[in-house]
Amino acid sequence: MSATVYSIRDSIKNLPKNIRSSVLRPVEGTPEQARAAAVFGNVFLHIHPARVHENSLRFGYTLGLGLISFYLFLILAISGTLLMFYYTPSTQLAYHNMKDLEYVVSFGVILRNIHRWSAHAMVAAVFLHMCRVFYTGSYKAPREFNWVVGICLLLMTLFLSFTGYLLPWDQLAFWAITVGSNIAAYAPWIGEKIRFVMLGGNEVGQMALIRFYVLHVALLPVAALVLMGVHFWRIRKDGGLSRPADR
Amino acid sequence: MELNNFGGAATMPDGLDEGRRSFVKKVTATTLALGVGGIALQTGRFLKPNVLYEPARAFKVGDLSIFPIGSRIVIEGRGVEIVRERDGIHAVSLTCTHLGCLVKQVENDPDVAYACPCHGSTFAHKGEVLGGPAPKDLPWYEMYMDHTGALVVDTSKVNRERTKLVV
Amino acid sequence: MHVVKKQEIFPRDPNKTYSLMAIVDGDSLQVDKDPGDTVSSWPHLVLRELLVFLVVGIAVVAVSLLFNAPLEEPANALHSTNPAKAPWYFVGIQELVSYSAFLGGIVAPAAIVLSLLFLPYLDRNPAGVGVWFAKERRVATSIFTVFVVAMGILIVIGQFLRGPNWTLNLPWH
Repeated sequence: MSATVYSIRDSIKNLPKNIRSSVLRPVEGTPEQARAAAVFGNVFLHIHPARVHENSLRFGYTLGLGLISFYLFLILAISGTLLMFYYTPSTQLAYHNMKDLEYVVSFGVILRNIHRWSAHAMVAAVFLHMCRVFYTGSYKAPREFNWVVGICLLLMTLFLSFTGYLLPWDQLAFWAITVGSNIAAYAPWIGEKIRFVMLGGNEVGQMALIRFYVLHVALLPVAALVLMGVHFWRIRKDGGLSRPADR
Repeated sequence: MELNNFGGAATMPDGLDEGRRSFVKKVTATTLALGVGGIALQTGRFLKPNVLYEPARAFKVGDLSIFPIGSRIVIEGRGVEIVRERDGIHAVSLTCTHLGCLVKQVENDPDVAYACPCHGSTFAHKGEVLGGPAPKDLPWYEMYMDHTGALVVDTSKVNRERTKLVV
Repeated sequence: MHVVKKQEIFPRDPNKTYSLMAIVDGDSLQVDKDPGDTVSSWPHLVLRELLVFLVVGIAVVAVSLLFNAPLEEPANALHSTNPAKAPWYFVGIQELVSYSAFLGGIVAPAAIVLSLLFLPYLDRNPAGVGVWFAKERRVATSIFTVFVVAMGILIVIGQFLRGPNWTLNLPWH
């Protein structure tokens, strides 16, 4: 065995190559293997299988609705996190923060617009995704449980949207939440108690605002994220996207 | 061996070992159930506030002199209307019994006195439902005069008999 | 026994360990079978996904540049807005609520959510998977369409036809 000489000169010369290969985990082999490795060697892409059925790529089949919902969630998470830097969940300040976003903060108004319109779009996309899955019969065995997870995600989307609706603390928000919380109070036996705990009091005020805020920025997004993880994982485990039986 | 007295399954009679196992299982399951249940109950209780920083339910609305006979005066911020008539005075809630919107007074209508802007419930002068989805009449609240002579409305007490305060 | 000389797609690598990752109920996974009707995820799938992301991103930014998010006056517990409307996806429920709060606000949503949750356990007929509007599923398709159309109509009524005091108005009045 001949000892390899490690010279600092070589190291510097090969620096870009070495950094690149340390990050990318390159695989030497056939082009086929390299393509597979590009997917399973990457933590963000390895949610995909190395190979997918051609049917999964047919845009006319899926309309990309599930993916669009996920992207809208990502856009909402990023824009929402940025908005948090300028938002205070206080009945005194919340509305002024909205005005500040509109007139004082650079790009504040566009960020708020992105957050609001993506939220509307996400509700629509999730609902349409459910329609697609129904009309293609994709909820049938073995994908029953993933349909249930999907319904839970639809509910999460609605809750997220509803809790976010109160945060600007304008007339639209205040009365929509007054009406919504009073609907909950009609539930038999525990309706009044649900309303009291939901609002943290008898009327929509500071306690309700902070509760909706915590639900909107912490509890519900985390719950949605966990459910999404299960949803995507189950797609793989249940044999990929649904498709007609092989002939 | 010392070990055998505690965990050596090999030399233990089968029955004894089974008994011990099921006992440990039961203890574990009970502890878990009690722990999880207790945390759930405590969390639920934690979320129910004990002190509310809301306006007091009983409040002064002012002297009798500011309510002339025949007037219907809305107390801003309280969702209450004070109605003074020849035979007495009473307080009507302006919170719609349907979903809690504030009802609006209707001018120049012999029958309808209040209409809800949210879902179109209508109420008569005494608060009875005339139409729309509202399930109950607008309640009257208890009223009394305190020792300084100011009128007080207590919105935590509903005046079920709809008796007017004679002044 | 004869040995079939076959070019494996993923030749066995002695430097690696192999383990069973999942047991899938169904026809053979890839044993003795070409992955003929599959394509590699990179680049076919991943590039398409990127394309969808671009389209979604551009659409959202474009809409946000064109239209401002609504913001009304500060919340005021003293004055209800007239009419007070829920967000559009709840306006259908609100329309039901304006007929009966309990039936429209509690019973109908609960019935919808429960029937959606239990749908795959009630409809056990495996026919018609993977095809839009499969012929074998006419009944299911019709029922679901009625539900979707009803929701749509309620939302349109609530959002566009309800004016002050929740009275039915035509939008151009």
